[in-house]
Amino acid sequence: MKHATEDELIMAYYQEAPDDIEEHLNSCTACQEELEALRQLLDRVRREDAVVRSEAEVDAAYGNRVWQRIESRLETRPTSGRVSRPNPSVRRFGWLAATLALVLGAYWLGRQDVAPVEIRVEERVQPRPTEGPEAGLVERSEADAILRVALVKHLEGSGLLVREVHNASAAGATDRLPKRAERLLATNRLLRLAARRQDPALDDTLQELERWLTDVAHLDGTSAAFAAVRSRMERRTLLLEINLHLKQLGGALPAKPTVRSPEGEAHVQSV
Amino acid sequence: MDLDLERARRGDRVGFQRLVERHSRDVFGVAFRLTRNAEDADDVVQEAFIKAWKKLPEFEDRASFGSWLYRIATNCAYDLLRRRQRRVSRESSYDAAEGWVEQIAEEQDISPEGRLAVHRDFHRELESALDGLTGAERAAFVLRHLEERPLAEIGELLGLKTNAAKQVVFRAVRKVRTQLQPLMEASR
Ligand SMILES: [Zn+2]
Repeated sequence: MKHATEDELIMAYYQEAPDDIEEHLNSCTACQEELEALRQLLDRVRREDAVVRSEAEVDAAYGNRVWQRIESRLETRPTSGRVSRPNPSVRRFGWLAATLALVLGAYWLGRQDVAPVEIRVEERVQPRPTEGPEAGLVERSEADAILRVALVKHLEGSGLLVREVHNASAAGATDRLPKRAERLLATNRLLRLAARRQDPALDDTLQELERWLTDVAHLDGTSAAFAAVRSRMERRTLLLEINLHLKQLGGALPAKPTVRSPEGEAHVQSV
Repeated sequence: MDLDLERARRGDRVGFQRLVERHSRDVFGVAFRLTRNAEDADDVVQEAFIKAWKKLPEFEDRASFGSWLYRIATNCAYDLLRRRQRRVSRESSYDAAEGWVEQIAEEQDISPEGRLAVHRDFHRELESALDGLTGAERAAFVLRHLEERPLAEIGELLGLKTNAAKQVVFRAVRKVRTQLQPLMEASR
């Protein structure tokens, strides 16, 4: 019989050779020597690799570092795992949302300038009784719509603030920014009540936003406080997260402002 | 069923965070074997978990999370190897099987005898041999020889039938052997 080919020897090494090859190997010294040489080489590769692997061993805290790096890159995922209708993250809020949306609608009407968004909220909220047995009872789909508007409006406002902080200087940041942060903070707390159980991803962003807004509200003109605010929003890529949620809710931040340079080239401001 | 897994599947980030913390080191292990450097392995680990998060709703109970994740990670690593391979074959005209050994030898005008002296180190020669393999060959070799995975699984990763995957393993072993054999003989 012919000697074993190289591939047959490789099969024999992995103990996958057909019986007739095995039989030949048992009786042929030349092939046994070949197989032994192959075995020495491949075994040495294994030993060498084990050394390399052990040198590259990561410590016990590695998993935590991985998490720190990917946390902000995870896309928002509906908590149920099934997407059957648009805006799933809002649809789940249900009756809790209905009540909250009324509160929020009223909150905005009282506190902020009336923009087109608020007028829509007003139209939805006003026909409903605010006192008596039916108070707080709105249809679920309507509540969802209101909460969606509330979230979009809030995330847009927050996103714009993130952008402004990015483009501001430590000294300039104390002008109006802390006041705006304070207003957004109040809304943020209400929205978190709605998001907490139903949409962990959104709640996660709102929670981080709350910390950031608190920092901005306390800006005191020192460069240290300003640097802390900047580093917090950059570490978590806050704007990116806000944008992701906005996209899911069907909203978007206004286009970035563009400035004309003397050369006539349009420059998009960073962030 | 694993509580963290159950929570993560429902979209809970805290549950997923625990899974990341529990499985990262294992994933790093296989990623490192395939990519042969810590930086790339780290990228693969991150990418694998981001993919896993996205695909978790499709995860079925009968599979173990560890082996499901393992497959995602080997897929990510294989993608990276293929991207690398495309880049290398575009950038260099030298024979990929010879790898950087040939290139350095040429640049520094080292004789064939001298090459052995320069690359006497088995470890470096092995890395060079693995570098010279195509992405599919390297994945097949590492998974078969170092991770001891079944051929069917390797075939699945490479998008090949089991028998075709076996041929890729053969080819890879032959190439590695061709490059390392002179060292084995020299050290005898
Ligand atoms: Zn023989």
